[in-house]
Amino acid sequence: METSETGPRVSAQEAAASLAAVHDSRRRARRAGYPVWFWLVTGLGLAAVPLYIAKTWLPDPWGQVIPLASVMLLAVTAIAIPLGALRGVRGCPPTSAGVLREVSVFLWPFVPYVAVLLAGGITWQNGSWDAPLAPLATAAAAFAAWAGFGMAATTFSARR
Amino acid sequence: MSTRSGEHANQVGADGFNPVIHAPVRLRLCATLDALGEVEFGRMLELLEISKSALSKNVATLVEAGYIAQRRAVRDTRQRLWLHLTPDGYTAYRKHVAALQAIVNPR
Repeated sequence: METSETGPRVSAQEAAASLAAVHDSRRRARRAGYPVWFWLVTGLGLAAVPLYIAKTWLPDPWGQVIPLASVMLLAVTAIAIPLGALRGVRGCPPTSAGVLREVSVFLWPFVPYVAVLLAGGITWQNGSWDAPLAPLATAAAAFAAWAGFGMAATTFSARR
Repeated sequence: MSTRSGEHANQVGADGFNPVIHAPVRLRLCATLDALGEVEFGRMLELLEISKSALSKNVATLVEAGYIAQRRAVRDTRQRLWLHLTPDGYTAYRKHVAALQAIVNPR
């Protein structure tokens, strides 16, 4: 690409104002990318996982209700992501750096989520909690970890 | 490459400062696409809070420069226009932001 060397074409003040506009646009864009409902709905779907795992431990009618509820919540989760496209935003940038950034934003909340699942599983296996309570408590904690961390990460990205 | 694209290339400073991208609306447009990937035209209108004609004009300039690509796809059962940065556009935008940062914080 042919270039010219004419030195700075704008003042420091104008450049600072332009950078502020860039940051403002990124903040708006981040909010548009992952709204609160996204984290809440996917959190509900992921919270169903420990309940689903525990279904064989629980007596009927829980053994019937929980698998059904889990399937419904996971279905909602699966639908939630393509719903984003209906809002006019696709989180799949064509650039490799953009893809990595989007993937990292989406993957980070899995860290506390998996930690909660592991902690719940260990406590559960040690028999520290009653069988019916342990998966429910783990599900609630998993939801809080996923949705809380996701929303916090989104807010942080918006302020970056 | 078209003649106009060549003209845009000639305007780029050695420091990466890009007069085509620097225009306020185009800079915000590129920043939004950089952050979100692909954005539908109507959604971009809401995000930038500008008129349809202003957005069309600025998109046309960036398309002409080879910095933005358009794609038609269905949204809400209707054909919509989706916008995304091209690899050249992504590089040019990043260099331009780096140039602005260098102006604000010279070493």
